[in-house]
Amino acid sequence: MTATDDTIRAVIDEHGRLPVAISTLNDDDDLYEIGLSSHASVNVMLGLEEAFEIEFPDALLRKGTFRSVTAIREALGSLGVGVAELE
Amino acid sequence: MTLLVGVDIQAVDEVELSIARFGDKYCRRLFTEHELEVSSSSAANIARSLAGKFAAKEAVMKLISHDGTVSPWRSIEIRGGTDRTSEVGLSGVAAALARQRGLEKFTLSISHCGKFATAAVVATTATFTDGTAS
Repeated sequence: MTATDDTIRAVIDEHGRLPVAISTLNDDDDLYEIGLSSHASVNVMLGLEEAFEIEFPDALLRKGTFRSVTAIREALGSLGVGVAELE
Repeated sequence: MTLLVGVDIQAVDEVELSIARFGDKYCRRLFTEHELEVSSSSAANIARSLAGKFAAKEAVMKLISHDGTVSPWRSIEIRGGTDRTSEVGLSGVAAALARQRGLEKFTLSISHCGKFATAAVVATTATFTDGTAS
């Protein structure tokens, strides 16, 4: 697991208001099915923006962007976050 | 003509916590200048008012979104100072999505009870159910 993944999971844990700990979830688990609300996803988005010092453009404001750890990692990757860790 | 209904509910304390945690960034990411202006007339009620507006935006979003495409929250504006007179104004992506779905007129009702705000939106489509134009 990369530092980016650790930060993503920490942000979800802090802001996602999920009924289970993020440590019990797999990267591809559907966060909405587990209990992520639209409002909580806003907080996750703002928490990610704060943690990575980025801003999600309107084009990424899709429900799918915050559906799973994997989806968030890919969205952040499209903004240049965590790319160096994979090289 | 077809009627579509969207509903949503929002806990006021969650909005209150988000304002406390993210402050202006939270407010300005979700709400327009107009929405913030009419909601800030009473500092004690700002979270209550914004919770109603967020529920209304989500209710509209349920009607206009498709194929995973959602609109930025600010492109759905809840206009008016009171819940009884609130109206829906669409711009940008939200307006385009509504056009694609043939949605013309939105009627909105927002209600509060204790810790929750709820909103119901009814939209009419531009075509009759048999496919002919209205």
